[in-house]
Amino acid sequence: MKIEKSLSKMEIKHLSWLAKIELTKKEEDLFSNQLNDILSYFQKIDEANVEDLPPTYHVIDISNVLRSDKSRPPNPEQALKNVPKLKGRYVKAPRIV
Amino acid sequence: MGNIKIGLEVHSQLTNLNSKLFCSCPTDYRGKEANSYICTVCMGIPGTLPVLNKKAVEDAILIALSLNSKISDKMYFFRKNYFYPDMPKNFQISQYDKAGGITLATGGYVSIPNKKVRIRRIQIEEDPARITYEGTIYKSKSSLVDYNRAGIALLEIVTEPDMESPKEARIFLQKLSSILEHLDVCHSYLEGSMRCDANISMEGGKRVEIKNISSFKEVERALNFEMTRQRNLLIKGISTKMETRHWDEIRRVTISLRIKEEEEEYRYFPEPDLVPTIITKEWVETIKDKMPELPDAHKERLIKKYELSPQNADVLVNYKLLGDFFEKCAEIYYKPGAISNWLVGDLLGYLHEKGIQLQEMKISPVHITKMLKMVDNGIISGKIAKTVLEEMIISGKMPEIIVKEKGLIRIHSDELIEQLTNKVFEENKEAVNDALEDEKAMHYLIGQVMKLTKGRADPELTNKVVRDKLIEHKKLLEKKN
Amino acid sequence: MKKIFEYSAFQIVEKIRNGELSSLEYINALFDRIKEVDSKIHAYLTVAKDMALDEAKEIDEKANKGEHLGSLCGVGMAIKDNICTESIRTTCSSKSLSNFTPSYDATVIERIRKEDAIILGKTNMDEFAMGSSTEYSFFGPTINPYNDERVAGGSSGGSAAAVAISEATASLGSDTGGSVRCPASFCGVIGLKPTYGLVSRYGLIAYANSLEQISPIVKDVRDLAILLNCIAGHDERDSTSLKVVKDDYTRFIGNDIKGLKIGVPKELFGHGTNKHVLKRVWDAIHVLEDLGASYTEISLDSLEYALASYYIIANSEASSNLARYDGLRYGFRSDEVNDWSDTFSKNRREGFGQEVKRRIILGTFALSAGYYNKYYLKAQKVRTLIKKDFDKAFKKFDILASPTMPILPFKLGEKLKNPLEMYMCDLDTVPANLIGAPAISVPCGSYDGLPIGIQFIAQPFKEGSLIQVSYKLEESLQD
Repeated sequence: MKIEKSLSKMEIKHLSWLAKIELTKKEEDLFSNQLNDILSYFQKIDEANVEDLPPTYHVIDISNVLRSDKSRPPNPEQALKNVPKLKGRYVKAPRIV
Repeated sequence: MGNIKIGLEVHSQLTNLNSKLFCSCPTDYRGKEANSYICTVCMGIPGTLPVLNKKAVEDAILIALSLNSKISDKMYFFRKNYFYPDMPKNFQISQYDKAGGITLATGGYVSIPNKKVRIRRIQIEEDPARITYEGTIYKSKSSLVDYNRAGIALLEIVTEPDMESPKEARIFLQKLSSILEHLDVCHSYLEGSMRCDANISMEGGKRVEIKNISSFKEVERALNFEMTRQRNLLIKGISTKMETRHWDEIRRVTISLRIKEEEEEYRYFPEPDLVPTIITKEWVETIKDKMPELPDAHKERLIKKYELSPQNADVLVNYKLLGDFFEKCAEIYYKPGAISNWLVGDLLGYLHEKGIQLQEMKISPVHITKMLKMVDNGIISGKIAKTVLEEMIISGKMPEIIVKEKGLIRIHSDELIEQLTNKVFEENKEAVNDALEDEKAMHYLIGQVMKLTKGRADPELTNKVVRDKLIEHKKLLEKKN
Repeated sequence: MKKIFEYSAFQIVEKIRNGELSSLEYINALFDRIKEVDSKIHAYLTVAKDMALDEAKEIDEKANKGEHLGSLCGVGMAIKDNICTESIRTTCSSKSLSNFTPSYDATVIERIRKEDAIILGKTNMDEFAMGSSTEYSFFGPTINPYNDERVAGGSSGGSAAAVAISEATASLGSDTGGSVRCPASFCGVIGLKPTYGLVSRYGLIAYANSLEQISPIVKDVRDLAILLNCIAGHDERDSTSLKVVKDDYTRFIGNDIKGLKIGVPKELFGHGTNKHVLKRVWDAIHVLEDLGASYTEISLDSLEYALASYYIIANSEASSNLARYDGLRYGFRSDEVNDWSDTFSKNRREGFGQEVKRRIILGTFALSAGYYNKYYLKAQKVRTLIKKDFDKAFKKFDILASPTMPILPFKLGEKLKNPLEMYMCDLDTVPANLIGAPAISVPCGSYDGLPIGIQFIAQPFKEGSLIQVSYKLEESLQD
């Protein structure tokens, strides 16, 4: 099948930056090949005639699932149980700039 | 100089909700210990799922209605994907008007003097966490995250670039915040409850975005700075480039963020964990029925009912809390004009001067009306009343108590005032001579008498005594000559 | 004579209720069995022995006192390691969550506990459920109980293998594109993916939210009905959970299938399908025919797009779902480098395995500027097309039948070099996830000692039909 658009290593670099996953040089090479294979397979859907069809974002037709505005006591112990690094009550994060 | 176009993206918390947008955590996190108002949902703990707060949607609809916007009959939530340490899930549940997305509302406007600022769209989203630093952002080796704010319901109101000066932007924001205050859905006096991004472009330059503006005062400052910066560039023949800049509140400058082509790649897609919300006409109608009086109608009513000046009415509407306070005073005491002057002038002025928020002042309408009665009954002078007012605001004591404690009651005694006047005449002989020619010098003498009584001397009486004394003095002089 | 760890769940419940069996004795037998075989099979990542034995004692006490015993009383269950269990480590077979111990129970866990089931431990899987062989586990693969050179299938390989070799009486997995049906087929047990929205996803660590459901794996159809009775039903914590009137699925057990109309979509019997698989599946269809059902071969043209559409949607959602693993709030945290962005990138490089990275990159691409319409949006429209095709078919047929897997359990390592080849394994299972319909894999024989499964797909909420036909097939094949 004709590959309309192949993923260059530059693009893979960019994608890995967007996804915040550092890739090794080796992974970049490997992924570049593998992902292009996969993408050329994905292009199968180009053939599908779906012009007038809406997308199915939600497979089951339900709407308006809403909860009433009642507050419950928070549960910080549950939420903080697995935090790797705390500083006092703060979650420690890397430097911003 | 070329035309300026300013557009705003206002982020307003729905502060009157009891619970967060997608979980049941309470919303009154301000002043609470870090990471104490959180649960597994707003912390983004794996496996947890969001459930939409109905009241948040209703408050948002109410706001959209008040801004004359068109409410969508169906809306979706989309994920806005980007990484940042304040993001519990590294995506924000928000709304989107492209890629098949529909936001809560579109269109609408806010009227400000001489124009309508058009609204582009209104959407609901979740607030991120708050980051603090050890020291400054630049020097801090690490950052500290407090998730208490994470998941608070936020409304994003995006305007068209219809404002033509930083001042106009401020006026728009004042009006918007007054509207939200009237709706009782967002109290902008709560720290960080209303934040703003601004974009500004000048004829001949590209659009520049300014992020991270934390309050309205800062918006005008940031825009003024940016306007001057761009103008200087244009004068030098350099055209501004399209970029995002950060407002540094401390240094009061905008700083260019690293320009990254990737910056805007948010990879929006529909939030699979939430279902569409259908907004029926009936639902909108029931919300519309609850629509309270809005600023324009409020102002008109104040003017009509209480015969206030448009200026005073404007201030009372802009400061809705003060407006409510005024009406309570006006119910108790029959002089709305005087009340409004006191509130808009001395009271508000003093609060601004001292940096006190309206809701922090310790007085009730009765304080004000009692004070006014004391003035009208001649118990204290207007000048003394000002002192009393300031004292009331700080301590919350009733005016009669303050007057008693500080001995501020007006001096009506002819004898005492005559004594004091004699003393002043003795000590200011030159001024006395001048006063025979010059009215101003006479007022100086009156002022000296007032000063000796710490303002308590009855002004009319003092006036009379000083005048009489001067005439006497004149006669004496004529006799001598 | 069956050994006690080999009993079905309904038998265990019956025996404990009758006082014939001590819960403690049975649970101990299961742990002995785990000790005996799991070093070879590697179905479990974590066992929760102390907790399980305490619970078994409690159940025995309740039985002695004549107190109420739940519908799953004493049943020893294995839980896939992407379903949150309070105080029991839950890793998703990923280094990034290797130290994650949830502080809450998933809704399904609450429900099975309420019915007195006992959790034995957490089972191996492909990392974040991304895979069809359980080879993409940070902790190493699960081995097929029928052949130690072959895979158990995936991604719920541990849950299926544990039930197959009686290290657990029943288990829970999750099925995003066949993740329960595939290993059920490869391990010779029953796996059902329920209608989307029938079982709460609260507490299921998300891979692809719009496709996946927590799914039971069992030894026989009766157990399936009992387990489904317990876990199905509305949950207000999951917005996609449906408010449906709860059915009693046991009422479909034993109902005859005279007049049942079966559709046989030829696209699910594609060229690549192994001939032994084809033979067993057709044999099974003929068995059903003998029992009074009729079948018709049909064509669902849109199915040729199903796999591509599935992988685009699943990876897109995954790229977003897995963004949260940055090391701040839970899970693996690497050393800091430079600023937050570099630290996140390093953390995620070290925390994720290669297949996860591959899928995140793919999903990031499919959602990125300029490609959204071509990939993500188009895939969602294709989903509509496929749904329409199925809707049409379900107007004529009660159920559709096909092989669960087009191939026999393959050799360990065989498909690791070529990810696309691994994806192809899911050809027949992904359509049910795309349309939200229930689908089951039931054993229908074997070849060369390797199990083969037949898949039945029904309309949404027709789990009853699947149970009905599966039970009849199971009954006939046992004779």
